[in-house]
Amino acid sequence: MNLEEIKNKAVESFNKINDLPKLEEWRVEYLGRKSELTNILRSLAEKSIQEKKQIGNAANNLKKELENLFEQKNHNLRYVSFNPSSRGLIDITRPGKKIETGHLHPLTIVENEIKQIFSYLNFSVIDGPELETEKYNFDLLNIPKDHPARDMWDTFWVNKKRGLLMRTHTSPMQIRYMEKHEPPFQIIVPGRCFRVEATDASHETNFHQFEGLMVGERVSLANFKFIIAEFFKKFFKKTMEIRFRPSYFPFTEPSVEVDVKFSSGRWLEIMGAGMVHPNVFKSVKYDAKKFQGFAFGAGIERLAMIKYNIPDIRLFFSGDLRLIKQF
Amino acid sequence: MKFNYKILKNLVSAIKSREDLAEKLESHLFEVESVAGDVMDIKILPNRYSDAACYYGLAREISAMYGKDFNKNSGLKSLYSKNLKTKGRSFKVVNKVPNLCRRISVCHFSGVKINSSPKWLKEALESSGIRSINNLVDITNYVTLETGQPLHAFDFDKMSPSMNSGQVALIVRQGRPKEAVETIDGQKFKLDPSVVVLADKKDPLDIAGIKGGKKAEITNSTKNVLLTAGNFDGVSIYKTSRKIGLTTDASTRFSHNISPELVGWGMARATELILELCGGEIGKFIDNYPKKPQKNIIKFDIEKFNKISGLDLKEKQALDYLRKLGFLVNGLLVIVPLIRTDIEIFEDLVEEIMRMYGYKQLKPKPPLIFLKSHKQGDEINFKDRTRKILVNMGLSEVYNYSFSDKGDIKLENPASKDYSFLRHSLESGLIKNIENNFRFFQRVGLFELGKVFSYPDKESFMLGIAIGDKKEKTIFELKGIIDQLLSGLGLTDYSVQDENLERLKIKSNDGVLGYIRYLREHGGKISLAEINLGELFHKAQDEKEYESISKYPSITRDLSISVSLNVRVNKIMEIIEASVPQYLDDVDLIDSYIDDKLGEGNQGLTFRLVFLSEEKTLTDKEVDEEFKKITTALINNIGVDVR
Repeated sequence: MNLEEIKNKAVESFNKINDLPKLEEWRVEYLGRKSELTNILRSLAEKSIQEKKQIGNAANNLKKELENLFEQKNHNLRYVSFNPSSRGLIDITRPGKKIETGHLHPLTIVENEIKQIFSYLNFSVIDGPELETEKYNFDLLNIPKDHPARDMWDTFWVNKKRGLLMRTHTSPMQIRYMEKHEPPFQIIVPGRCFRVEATDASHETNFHQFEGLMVGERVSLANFKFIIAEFFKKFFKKTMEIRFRPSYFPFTEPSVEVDVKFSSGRWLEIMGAGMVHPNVFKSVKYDAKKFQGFAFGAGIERLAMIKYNIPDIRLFFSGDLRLIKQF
Repeated sequence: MKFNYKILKNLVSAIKSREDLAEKLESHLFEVESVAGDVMDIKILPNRYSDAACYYGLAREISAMYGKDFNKNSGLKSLYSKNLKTKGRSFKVVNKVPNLCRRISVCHFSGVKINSSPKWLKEALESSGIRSINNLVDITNYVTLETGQPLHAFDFDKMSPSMNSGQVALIVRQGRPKEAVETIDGQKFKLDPSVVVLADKKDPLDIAGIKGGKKAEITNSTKNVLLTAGNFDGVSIYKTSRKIGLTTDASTRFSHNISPELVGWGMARATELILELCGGEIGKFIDNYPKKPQKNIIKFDIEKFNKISGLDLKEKQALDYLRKLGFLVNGLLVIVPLIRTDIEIFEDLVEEIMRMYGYKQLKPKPPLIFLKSHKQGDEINFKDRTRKILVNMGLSEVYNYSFSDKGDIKLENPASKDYSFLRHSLESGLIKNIENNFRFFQRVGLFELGKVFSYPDKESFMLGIAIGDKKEKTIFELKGIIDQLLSGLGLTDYSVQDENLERLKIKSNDGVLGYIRYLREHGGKISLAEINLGELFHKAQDEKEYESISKYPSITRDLSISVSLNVRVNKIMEIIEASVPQYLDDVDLIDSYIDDKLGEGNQGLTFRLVFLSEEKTLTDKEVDEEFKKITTALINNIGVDVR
């Protein structure tokens, strides 16, 4: 065969190749050590200078040409039009499978975080009843009957005559806990509360709070500032600027509102707090001259909304997995 | 409550700017809800209506913030205590309810000219959202804004005099049954003894402390006036206002138990303005003040102050803040101004000093305490573990309202009909959740932990689990989940028994812990379980114990039977287990089918039996013997056909 014939034959069979083993066979046949082209090149040594030049050039060109063809197809078959099944391989660049997992409710996640942070600060976690009595929800907390201060807590009544209501805050647990324990102690009480509200993006009739209470002989408002700064630092994972503003709650004196400054530069009101009112200590028969302490309460929804940028409080009660699966 | 910046600035020249004022108010006194032009909306705290819900009160506070004194009231006091001439018509004041009306001041003016108000007065009222009526009425409203004391003026000539003496009397008394009063806005209110009214000899003239009446209303033709300022019991006003559904600026103020001392200031200031703007002459003045409040004197103790606050102030510094706020300080004795009804105890003084000093300067201090081991209630831990196990099995947590459209306990004031009961089960909430989520998901596995309520006032902590699948029945998956959950929580001794065709009971010892339901109405595509987590907590034993692992291989045999569809699988499994073959380690149903070959009304079932010994390698023969015992028991008991 002359070079022309070799070339025609090689190109013709080359065009039919579409897998790597065939390509390898082709390479052996047309470019291998025993191929005709190699034979021709090898035989050049015996040829005249003229012939060497003429045939040698043409043969080398053909070799280069065939090698290029080979490289191109080799690359294509290997990486471009790769057929994985033929090699027992698969394309591992495909996206991962969607694994169905369970998710905790974002309020649970936030509540757990709160419980954990306060546990680090040596607070104990307790809980209490949602169906409460007027006595614990109001009377013993120094909130007088028929007083407009009660308007701060619009109440769902179960039986007004019997003084049964849905607790409007977690504060009744202050009383329930102190009735059974002696200071010093520090506790937090997370739980569900209820208030008559016209529902909108920031108000719900069912919501969650956590209450904090620390009582001892020298527990001061400055101590509260320390504790709460620590809490916000851990909760928001950076040091937060906080401020107190004067406020009024019947069961604390002095009373403050706690604001936190966010990166937007806005101050947001996060919790109410203060030093436990001596009348509250009197209702649990503590010596109000000996003991003092602070109490605070904050909405868990509000913290979750701020932390996760959730715009509407009603989403928490929607049961919508498109929300819950995000957390 | 809305106040005008210009009026405040006029009273306290030290005020720098709106922004500075707003910032100072927020740091030391009240939240400022908005500033729109000159109108500042200031949120009065409920305990400060007596002294600070007015221009003078705010000015006193603001002056103290800027380190200045404010003594506007003393000037008014002197006017008030001036010996007033007693010209004009005679009248008397009768207070029949000294417990509910702690003070009533009345002054007669003759020859007044009712006109429209000057511009400054109209503007001042407008800033606070009050409509201008005429000069006299506007004065009473404006003086309330200035001093915090509600006032009311009657047209003297419209009051019915006594039939006998011909004398006019202003009577403070309880309303009478069948009596009614028409207010100046034309509403009619029925009275009863719980309502206090100001009345003439014949009729009630207003609802005391809430709203003025039509009969003796000031009109353009009014010439002679009785100006009144009273002080009424907060609880009584609050109850009446709620009962008759009428809340006014005056009722709000009285509900917050403002001081009767304000009466004097209000009367003096109004008198000054009436003489200035309405002309006329001042006449007889009566001050009925049966219950003058006692002076409250509190002993100051700087050590105690520093102990509560965590600050380190000097005595003089602390007392100076009180002085600036109008407290009289005599040595260590602090005399509380009578208008400061909010100041009762030492801790109230702590607040005054702290807020004036500035909470900003309060340095955080770590508390000094005895270390106690942290406790988290075991029940709280138990709930956390429950959640963790369920999430690990692919379920997601939801929260539903504690209110429902059915239950044992009804709310007296529900937010809506759909939420008028306390839920007695988590069921309906979870089913609704699944249906809603079917719009977006093929499979939905949910759980909720929450309180449910039952008659009369019982509260239980429940766990609800629901699984929905648009294509498949889900009850067996749910049963598997319950098994994993209960054993994960440390409950080993329990059984699941059929209660009826759609419902299984989860029992432990004698108690029922909960149930599992196949929801036929949903084609079995939703199944649901509810477990009393409080009960479970008491039954579940936390500690697990190691069971030795056999060194010998197990042998597996499949048992295929044909049996009537009426025979339920748990019955068959009970028999298999009760035949107590020595080496039976596990039984599982691996296949069930219905086939023509089985004959009508029959089902085919295949069980996988695993045999294992802890002592030796079982031989086929030994297993065959065990297997035979089982098949015999099945044939004898329920007549199965072993295939």
